Amino acid sequence: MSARNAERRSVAKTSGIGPINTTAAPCTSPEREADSNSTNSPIAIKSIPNIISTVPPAVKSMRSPGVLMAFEGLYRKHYKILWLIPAILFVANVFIAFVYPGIKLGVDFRGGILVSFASDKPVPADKLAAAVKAATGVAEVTVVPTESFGTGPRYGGIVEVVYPENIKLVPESNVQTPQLTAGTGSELTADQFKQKVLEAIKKVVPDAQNIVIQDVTPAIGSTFWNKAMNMAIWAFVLMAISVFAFFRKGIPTAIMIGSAIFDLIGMLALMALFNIPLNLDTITILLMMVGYSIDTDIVLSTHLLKRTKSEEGDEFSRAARAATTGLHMSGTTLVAMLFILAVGYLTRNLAVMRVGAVMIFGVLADIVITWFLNAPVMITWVRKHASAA
Amino acid sequence: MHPLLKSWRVRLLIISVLIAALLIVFRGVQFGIDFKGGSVLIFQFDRPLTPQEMQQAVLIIEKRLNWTGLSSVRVRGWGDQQVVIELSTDNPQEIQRIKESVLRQGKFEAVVDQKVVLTGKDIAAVKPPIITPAEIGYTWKLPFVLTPEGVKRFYTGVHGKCTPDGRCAYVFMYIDRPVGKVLLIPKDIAQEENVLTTIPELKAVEQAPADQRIPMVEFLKNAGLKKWFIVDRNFNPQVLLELNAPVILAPEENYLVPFLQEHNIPYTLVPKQPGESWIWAATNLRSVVHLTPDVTNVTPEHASNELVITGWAKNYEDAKQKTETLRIILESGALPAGLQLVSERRIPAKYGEQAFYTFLITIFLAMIAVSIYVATRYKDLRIAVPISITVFSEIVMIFGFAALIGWRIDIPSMIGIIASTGTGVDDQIVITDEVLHGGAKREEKERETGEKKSIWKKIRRAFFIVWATASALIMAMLPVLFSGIPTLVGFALTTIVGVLVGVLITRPAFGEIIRYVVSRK
Repeated sequence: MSARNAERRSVAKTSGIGPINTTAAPCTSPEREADSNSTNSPIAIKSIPNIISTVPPAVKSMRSPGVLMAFEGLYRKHYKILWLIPAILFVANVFIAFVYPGIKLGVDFRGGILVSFASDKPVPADKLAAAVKAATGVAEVTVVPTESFGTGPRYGGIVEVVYPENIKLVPESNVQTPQLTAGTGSELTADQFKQKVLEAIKKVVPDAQNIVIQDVTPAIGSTFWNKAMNMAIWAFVLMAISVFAFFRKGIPTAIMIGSAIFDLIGMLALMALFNIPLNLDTITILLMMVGYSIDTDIVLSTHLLKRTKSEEGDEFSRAARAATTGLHMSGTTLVAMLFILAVGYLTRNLAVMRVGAVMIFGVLADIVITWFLNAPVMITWVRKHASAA
Repeated sequence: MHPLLKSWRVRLLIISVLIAALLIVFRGVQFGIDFKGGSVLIFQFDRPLTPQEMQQAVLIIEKRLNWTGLSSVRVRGWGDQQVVIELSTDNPQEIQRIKESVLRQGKFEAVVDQKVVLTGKDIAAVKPPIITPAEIGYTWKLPFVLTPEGVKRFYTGVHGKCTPDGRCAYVFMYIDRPVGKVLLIPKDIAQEENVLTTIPELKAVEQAPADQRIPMVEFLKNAGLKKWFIVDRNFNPQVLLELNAPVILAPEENYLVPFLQEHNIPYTLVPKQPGESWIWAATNLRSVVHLTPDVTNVTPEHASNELVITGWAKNYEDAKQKTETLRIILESGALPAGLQLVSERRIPAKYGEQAFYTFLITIFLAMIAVSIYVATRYKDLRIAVPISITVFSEIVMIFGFAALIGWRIDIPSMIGIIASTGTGVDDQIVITDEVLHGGAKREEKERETGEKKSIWKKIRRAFFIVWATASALIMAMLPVLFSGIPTLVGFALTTIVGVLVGVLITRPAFGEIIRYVVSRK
């Protein structure tokens, strides 16, 4: 009985109905809000760690109020310059994604061969990559060593060979395999090419087993590319319509879709940095993550546009409230996505590993864009809009 | 009765999960080749097809594959130009056989004096092949029966093709005749094959009787070529630009390939098989029949209704394979366009099984991890447990839906399940946060007037976010779903189903549960 009471008490605390009001009140009082730019509350002016240390002991154990106040202080004091962080990042991202190192097109668009295998010994990735490069004369070879647990061989690897630009497809009428001719005049059919890759693998990893082979000829590339671009354009158009339908305000919708584009550029930059190429699956994940990134933008916009001051305080505290919820949303998503990355690694599936990685990039880009770009911009808009009204 | 069970939202959740569980148990969830092992081949047609043509093409390919006797083959048209074939085998020989039977457009044509007298439509049935041992290897015969119209057409086509002095015309039978193409014959091949016989083996030419020796030109004239050239190193390829037609050439002419690629001229390399005629191979000639007066000079009612394609093979197996492939092509009819193989993926069964268990364990662990995260965030099991149960019931319902529509779960589908439930937890967090913290200021005033009303209001407001986010994610995934790209549709489908199950079934119930939990405090 007493244990139950104790539990109830702790719920009352964590639920925030009690203590949070008291801690949030200084920040949200109307007097402070009027002149929030110049004469801020002492709590907000202080640096973030100080804010957390001033939280009463009962609340200290909970992360949210700390984060809440940190964000509230941040927005209240710096909302006019906060967007500089993502803006600078954006310029850097555009450079990374499109100039150097630049995002690469993967096998789906350029054609190539993917082989995965298991082995009882660890796979020497560098040695294997060198062997495959030597055997095929192709420079773009990716080797990822893997490890798995449970039944079956413990180690394994993935080899991806992307056809170089000067290799072109030669259909044959009688021998039913496409033929590749390099610019040098040396020629290989796709099967011979595959065979060379397999031989190189067997040489370095004699016990390679459970071999999965996938090859994509470049002929399909342009079709894929057109489809992918169509998908992306439609996704953005439909999302914009959907967001507008819910909020019925043009500028906020534009801000949200703009944030989604920033997210996209951020993900592309991270992909370029981590050498993850654009394939059909990664493009799909990009779209999904853009759709997902809108989630936090919607949480933010709902708090800012659909809530009133009398309900939840001024726009700074409303944005901060949205941020605490949003960050935990990102937290759970991140956890689920780390497992996708892990399952890709465990099943020696390069595509799944890349999918997991791009999802994580999406969440990370979203955190920065939503809470450091979208939030300050939206706060500015709401303030202007409110004063005009 | 527990008060929660009185809510229709909670009842809907329980009933849905039960139905899903029953579907999973009794209908069973099907798994794709990612988890069972097998192969995926993607073929591309030379041109976009109309929907009717695509439907027809899929039917023809299915027919061809059924005759190869392989179990569980799945053929799907994808967009207007591609066909995806899923096979339950990863055996290279079987895959090679499949490729051979699919990669032919299969347009049968019998040509006499440059006129088409028969097409594939005139064939009523193909009889079992006759394979007989020859001096070296085996010869084979594949007889086929003509339709009544075919008989008529053939009769008019060959009537009077024997001159009174007994010189008769030949019937050239092609599968995929190179109509409108340009043939570049290497000089040495042209010299070696300037005289051919009615069988493709060159060795036979010397022994053939005089009336069976046919000049190469006869062969080329009937092949429907736009033009042919006898080519050596001095050949000036500029002329090919004016002709603007696909080119057929031999591997020793590959010095022309860079030129063809540069000017985007489609080309086909036909290798020379030792001991066999290159001209036969390059023009896709299958059989040459020397007409006799008893065929050409009969009255209509005695017109023959049976023709034979003959050939030679190294051994019995080879002969069987060749006749079988030919029979399948003749019987299934022609595809609307030529096609080529563009992607191939092979998954060993053992790998698939391991991948399957790894995925199941991963989903399970991911659920536990998300639950732990939520539990540490709210420090209250009465909130954390409903969130975990919601996630679990969502996964059950997605699988149940897959069982219902007979969807095959592949790796992208599994990823979609993890992604949609992982992002689905977000909604639960939104609802919970809204109920616990939302409208803090107003709440103070409303404290006395009754908390329940205020909780309801908060849940309703949370659902604005839930609906808006769900709608955005579905909008992002709809174009992927309709792209029809086979490796992506599964992902889009499970993501969308996951989101829909969430907003329609689990989240309303979760809102009810959270209301109950909070109002009891």
